[in-house]
Amino acid sequence: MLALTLDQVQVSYPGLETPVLDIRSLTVAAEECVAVTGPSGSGKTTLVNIITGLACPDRGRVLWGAEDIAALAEARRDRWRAETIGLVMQEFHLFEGLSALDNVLLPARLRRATGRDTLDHAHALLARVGIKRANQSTATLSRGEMQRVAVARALLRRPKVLIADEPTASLDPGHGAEVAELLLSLARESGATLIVVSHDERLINRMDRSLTLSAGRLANAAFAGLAA
Amino acid sequence: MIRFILADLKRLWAASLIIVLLVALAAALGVGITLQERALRLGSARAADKFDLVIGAAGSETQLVLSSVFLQPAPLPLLAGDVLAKLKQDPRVAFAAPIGFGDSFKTYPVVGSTPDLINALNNGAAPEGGTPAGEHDAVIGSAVDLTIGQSFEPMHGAAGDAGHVHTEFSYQVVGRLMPTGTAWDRAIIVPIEAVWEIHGLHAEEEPPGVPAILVKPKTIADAYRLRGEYRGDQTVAVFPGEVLTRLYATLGDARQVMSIIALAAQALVAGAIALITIAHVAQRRRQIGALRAFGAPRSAVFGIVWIELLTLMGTGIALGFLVGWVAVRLISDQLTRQNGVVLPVEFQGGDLGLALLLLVAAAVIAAVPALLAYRQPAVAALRS
Repeated sequence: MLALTLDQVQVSYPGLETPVLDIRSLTVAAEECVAVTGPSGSGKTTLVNIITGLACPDRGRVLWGAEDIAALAEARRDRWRAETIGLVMQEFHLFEGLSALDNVLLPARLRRATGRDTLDHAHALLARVGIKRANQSTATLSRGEMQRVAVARALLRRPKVLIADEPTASLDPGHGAEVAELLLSLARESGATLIVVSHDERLINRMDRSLTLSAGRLANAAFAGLAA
Repeated sequence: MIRFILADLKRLWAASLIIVLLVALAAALGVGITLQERALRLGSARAADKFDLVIGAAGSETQLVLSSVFLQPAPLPLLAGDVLAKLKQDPRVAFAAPIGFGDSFKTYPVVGSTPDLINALNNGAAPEGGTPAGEHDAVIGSAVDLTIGQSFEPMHGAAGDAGHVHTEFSYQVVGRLMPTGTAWDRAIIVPIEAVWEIHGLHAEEEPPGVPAILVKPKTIADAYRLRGEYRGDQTVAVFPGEVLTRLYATLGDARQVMSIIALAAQALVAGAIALITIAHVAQRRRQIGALRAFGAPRSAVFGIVWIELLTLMGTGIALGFLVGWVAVRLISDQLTRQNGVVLPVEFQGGDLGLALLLLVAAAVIAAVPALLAYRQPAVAALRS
């Protein structure tokens, strides 16, 4: 399983004086479950983009295990992400017209990464997240069910890291709690490192620890710095 | 990927349909122009097949061919009466048949001639019903709406003109010709002597003049010699095929102009589609970003957009070929009903090249939004 280390990471946008993300040092241990909180505009999404390899920092290293993903070329980074990271977003990004099962399989199929057991695994995951009919069209799912399908999709390729960006923010409290429970228990079952950006207190409280971002810096930076 | 593309097209069916129809119309325009010009060319060439050499009084060669081969009414100057007699006695001539215009019945031209012409038009066979024997016997083309045994009175002037009816003279239909796919299918052929008589010309005094003579030379060499001899101050001799070739050159120019117009229309459609699809890709940047974020490679994103568009445009091109063919078929059938000339509407090997060219153009156009999708950053998936 993978640990995350950020080292002197900085992201700036032209026209802005201060960097939107400025983290001197951050370490997340393998299999740790960490919450990231902070007001909007504090750099949470930028942090997710950087640690998933969707974007690269202007400076610094982003180490997952021994691999600095900031140094990888875009295609390599895409492949690394597909193999390593399971992503759950606030918007479910399920594709209309495809069944729950096809949605779960879509990213792997587009990468031609479906093996013999992939289909069985997809069925098992859908059953695990509580979707009874795998061939149900996504248009007929409730919002809670949609996010559960998205969780199953994130886990299909047995990622070493699970990253969720506000996974419960667009759900009612009942469905939100279900999804939070699923994320935590599935991460623990699979031994994946879990990083969740959230405002949801009930979710944050169940994580191993919580980081707070403020204006692109870790609010408990002194503590994190000492720990490193 | 195919399942995703199908689901996507189903979801965007209205926009997809518009793209297919736009492409189909643009393709049909180009295909239609090509097919119609070809049909006119082939049809007229086949119509002139039986007319080896046509001799008329000095004047327009084109008009002589249009009047004799296509029976287009026009006042032709008359040949001197002795030309026909001289040709009939010429040893190089298999037959020489006069073609005399002037009368009509309903919308059908009444043409005065001799049995030689009937033979030539009917490939040597006797007309169905019988061969004309007397001055009042008429033979009709296959598309003439008269029955054998029916009588009619000819009207002076071309079909559709206001003229007087020759009530003093009537013909009886004795035979019907086989279909030839030419203007002569709509003709009523009567003895030339009857035409002269109706118009007060009498063959006994001195041979009356005729507007045109169809000549069948015995050999090709004879044909050229005869044409040379009868090209002079008084007469003109033409190979209809040669005159048509000149007309095709003009027709070809017209086609070229129309092809340029069609090409411009196609370019406009191509531009419109490029704009629509680029806007569409921009609208879908979050979805495309999400695909990338979940692990789809950039090549798959390119492939999805490219195959989707190429499928739509390919369908449009195929549909356009069908629509173009059907439209030209309908137009040509209407023209055949009006003047008898059968216009063959057919695709040729070269059309495959046009289809391929359009497909290649479609592939290039589809590559533009596909490339934009390919280059779209994956970060767009996440809320910002």
